[in-house]
This record gives sequence, C-alpha cells and structure tokens, in this order.
Amino acid sequence: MTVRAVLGRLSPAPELILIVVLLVVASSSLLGKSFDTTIRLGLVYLLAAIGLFVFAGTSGVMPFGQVAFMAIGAYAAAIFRIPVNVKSFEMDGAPSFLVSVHLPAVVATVLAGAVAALCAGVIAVALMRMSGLSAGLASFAVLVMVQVVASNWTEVTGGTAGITGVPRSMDAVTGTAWVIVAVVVATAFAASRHGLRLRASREDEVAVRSLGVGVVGQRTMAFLLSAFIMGVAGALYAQQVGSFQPSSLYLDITFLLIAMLIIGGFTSLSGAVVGSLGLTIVAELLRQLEKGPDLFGLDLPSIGGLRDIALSVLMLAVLVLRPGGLLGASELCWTRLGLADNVSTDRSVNPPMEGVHSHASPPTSP
Amino acid sequence: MTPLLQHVSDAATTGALYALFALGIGMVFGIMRLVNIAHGELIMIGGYTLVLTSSWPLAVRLLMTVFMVVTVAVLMEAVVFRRVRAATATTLLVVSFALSFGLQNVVQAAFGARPRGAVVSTRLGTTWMLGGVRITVLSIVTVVTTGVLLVLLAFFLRRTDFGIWMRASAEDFGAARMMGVKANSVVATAFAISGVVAAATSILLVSQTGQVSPTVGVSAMLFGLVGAVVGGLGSLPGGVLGGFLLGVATVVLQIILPIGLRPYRDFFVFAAVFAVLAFRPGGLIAAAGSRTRV
Repeated sequence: MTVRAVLGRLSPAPELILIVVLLVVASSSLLGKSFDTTIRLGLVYLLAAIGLFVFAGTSGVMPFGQVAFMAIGAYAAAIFRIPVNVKSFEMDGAPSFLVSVHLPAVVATVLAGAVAALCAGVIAVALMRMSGLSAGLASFAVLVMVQVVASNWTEVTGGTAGITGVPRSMDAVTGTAWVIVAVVVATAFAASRHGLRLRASREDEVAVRSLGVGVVGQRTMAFLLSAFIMGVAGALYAQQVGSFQPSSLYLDITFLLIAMLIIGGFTSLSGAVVGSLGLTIVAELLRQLEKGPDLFGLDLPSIGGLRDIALSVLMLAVLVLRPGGLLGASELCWTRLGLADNVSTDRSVNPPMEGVHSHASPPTSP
Repeated sequence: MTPLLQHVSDAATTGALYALFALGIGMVFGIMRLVNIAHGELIMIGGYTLVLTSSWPLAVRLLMTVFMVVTVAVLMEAVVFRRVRAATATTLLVVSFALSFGLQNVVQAAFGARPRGAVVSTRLGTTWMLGGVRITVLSIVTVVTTGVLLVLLAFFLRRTDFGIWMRASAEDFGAARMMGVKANSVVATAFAISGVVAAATSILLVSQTGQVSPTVGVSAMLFGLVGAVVGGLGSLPGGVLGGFLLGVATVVLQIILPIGLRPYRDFFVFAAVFAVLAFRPGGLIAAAGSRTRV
C-alpha cells in the first residue's frame, strides 16, 4: 500500500496531530512568554475534550460528571508529586502511605490516570446500564459526590482551601505528546470493532442489542478509557497550575468541555479537537479584547465579564445556526481525498453479493 | 416527640421549596424535552427585581417580580429556544447552559458579583409556637404557596382545553400538532407558567436567605433538576414528589448523620440519587410517554 493509503487508514489521526503540532509550534514561537500558560492549559483542555469524546461521542451518552475523573487524577497526581516534606506539613493527619509516596512526573501522570480509571470501574457496573438523560444525571451525581469528598476530606485534599505545592513540570511538549497519544488511541478505539459496535448502539440501541452485542460491556470499555484520559488530563492540569481547589475542577470546566464538544460536533473526534482548539483561541482573543486595546483607532472600554458574555453569545449563535456542531459527524480526512479505493477497502475485497438485485421471494424453510 | 415534630415541620418546609424548584424544571421538560438550565437565572432575575423595588409597596413588588420573570421566560423561548426546537436533547441542554452562563454574567456586569441584601417582608420572620414546635410564618407560606400552585396547575392541566393541549404535546409533540394543537402557544404558555413558578420560588428563596447574588439560582436549579429526574421527568406529580423527597432527604440526613459525617451530607444525598436512577432510570413515577417501547 502507498504511504497515503496507510495514512488514510489511520485518518483522522494524522490530520489532527498535524493541526495540533502546527498550532502549538506556531503559537509558542510567535507569541510571547505570557501565553505559555494559555497554550499549556489549552492542551490540557484539548486532552480532556478528547477524553470526553471517547465516551460521549461513541456511546451517545453525555456524561455530565466526567470531570470527576479529572479531579481524581489531579488530586492523585498532586499526592504523587508534591515533595514528601511539604506533604507531611500540608497533609497533616493523612494516611502515611499517601504522605510518603513520591513518583517521577511521567509515572505519576500515568498512575493518576489509572486511579481515575479504577474509580470509574467501580461505578461503571451501575452506570453503564443506564441510558440517556438518567445516565447523564447519574454521572453528574458522581461529580457532586467527588466534589463533596474533595471539599471535606481536609487531611488529604486540603478541603475547600485546596492543595498546593505541586511541581509545575508540565510544558507544551509533554502536553502535545499526551494529546498525540490520546488522538491515536481515540481513533484506534473508534475504528476498532468495539468502537464500531458502540457507535452503532448510539444510533439504535435496540437494533444493536438484537444483534447480540453486549452494549454494557462496550460502554464500560469506552468509559474506562475515557476516565483514564480524563485522569491524565487532570494530572497534567495539577502539574501546570501547581495549586488548585475543588471548585477549579467542577461546573465551569464541565460546561467548557461540553461546549467544546457540542460546538465542534460531538460525534466526531475532529469535532472535539476543532471545538476545543477553537474555543481556546476565541476565549483568549476575547480576553485580550476585554483589556480594551486600540481597535482601528477606537479606544474600546474594558468591560469586565465581556469575555464570558461574548463566549455565551458565540456559543448560542453556533448552536442556533448549526445545531449539529461545526463539523457535525464528519471527520477531517484529508488524506483520504481522491482515494476512492481507500475509503472502503472492503469493496475490493468483498464484491457485491450475487443475487442481491433479484428481489425473489426468500427461500421457504421447511 | 417535640423535636420529632420540629424536624417534620422543617422537612416539610424544605421539601415544599425543593418541590417548587422541581416543578419549574419539570414543567418545561414535560412539554419540550428541554432541561432549562436557565430556570435558575429566572429565579435570580426575580430576586434582583425584589432588590431593585425594595422601596415599593409589597403587593406591587410581588406583581412586578412575577411580571419581570414571566416576561424574561417568554422572551427566552421566543428568541433562543424556538430556533433550536428541532435539535437534540443534549444540544438543547447546552443552549440553555450557555444562556444561563450569559445571563449570570450580564447581571454580574451590571450589579457586581457581591451578594445584595433583600428583605421581602419582616412579618415573614415571626415565629409561632404550636404545641412546642417553632414554626415561622415563612414556612407556612412556603408550604401553602407550593400547595396552591400545584392545585391550580393540576386544575389547569386537567380541566381546561389549553391544559389538555399541553399534556398532549408533552406526550407526543408531533401527533399533537397534527391534531391541530398550536405548538407555539403551548410552548410559550409552558414557559410562562414556569416563569410564574420561578417568580414564586424567588420570592420564597429571597425571604429565606435575605440576599441575592448572580449565582443564587444555580443550586436551586441543580436541586430542582435532580428532584425532577428522580421523581420522573415528564411527569409533573412525579417531579414534584421527587423534589419534595429530595428536600426531606436533605433535612433527614442532616439530622441522623453523626457529627463527623455531616459535612458529607450532599455526598449521601447524591449517592441516593444515583441509586434511585440505577434501579429506576425513568424516575420514581415514570411518565407515560417517556418509557422506551421496544
């Protein structure tokens, strides 16, 4: 097979990776140091959006509480990464094994994701049997439960005051690397037979069940994968901001991530990526405008909150004009353009069945 | 015995208030399959109206609050929700989320983020002693208001033509339209009614807490949504029951939890919500049209 054919099979991963890498390189080199935080946080949100897509986009169930796993990952990473002497002061009264554990950055991040996935596994048993709005709200209930624990388990999480002292070791390279991993994993999952079955169940659950597909099992797989990615995103968040409170990873981020998915088109990975990058860029633009720079010689007054209001208006506009999201359900598959034989290799391998055109009566069975 | 009666009275008051939250959310969901996150902002607008009219006579203030909230609710529908009526449930939810966020920020830009004091009526604070139980006038007003609104709504939905059209639309919007029900009127009325409920909620809530802020409606909306879903979205009695039970559960848990676990009260409340949804995904009283028929 040609290189293009190979890339086409991997679509849309190569296109998305290209976009992300180009954007990160361009913004890092063109914009000043003051934008470093924005770029890194943008990568964290992108990773979280991909994590959300892996479950929401494939199964059709919008888990409103998925940020709970981001929070779990963030606190886990904080516990793994804060130096032991700081922890023994900060986490006074916590179990000793939590105070003494200390791991290098990458291991901490992966393990934080694993912890999040483990917690997901515990509730998946009950959650995956639900559908639609009930599932979404049960997921939200989980978010609230995690929030309450984080706000009150003061010995371990610092309570409402939050946790501080996480080494700020996350940089754009780490973020981009994790995003690349997530994009590849998400694409592979969506194209795998598990992903295909899950996406079919999103369209018509009853029909898929009648074909013998264990929808609960497929959903659980997606849920665990999604929780892992969200946990990693949370871990990176912790290592970027250095200190955070329970309220940092609660409703505002939930709204932002869901908005990113919906605006981009939540049934496609490209939609999640485009929505996430788009919203980050627009939010940053609005934040710059809010400061009231000279625009065409006019001195715009700086209105506090202008960014949030404009963001809401923009979201409403996009949703009203394109309810399916900017990309709808289509992926960015540029490598496939002009390669008709590549999109469905099935056709060359499996020619249409004989007798398909004759609408003869089906054979009568004895 | 007396402490028990006191707890019962507290639970009933909180339950009635949460039932009102749930009624507002369930009303619109029943007709449009839309979870109106912005319902919390209707409550907020009602609260700010009370703040801004604090020097006016009480009756005029109450009427003004109802007027403002209903106007905003109907405008919400006409300007935003009507255009996305055909979208998926999740898109509608995000639209209402964006609207809620936008309204909060507009009010914050106009009035600031700090809470503002608001007094509805000092007479509401007076306490009566009934057989050893301390009851405030506000508690009685809350329970009575909720009851009256429910009865009025039930009468409207069951005995009037318009109410029957609304119930038909809630069960099957498309079929109702084909039968000649005017969709726009039904939807606008549903929003107007939810506005009336929101106005009543805001008056009672502000009376209870004495202050308003841009985020005053958020937790009311959350508890209303949870109550409505647990009770059975799409079924008004179910929603009200769910809200009431949620309110009662919060008070009961506050009482029976050991001191060390009391801060975790919401954890147990939402764990119970999760459990209810796990065993009865349609809610406690599943609505007629909401069960998936295989």
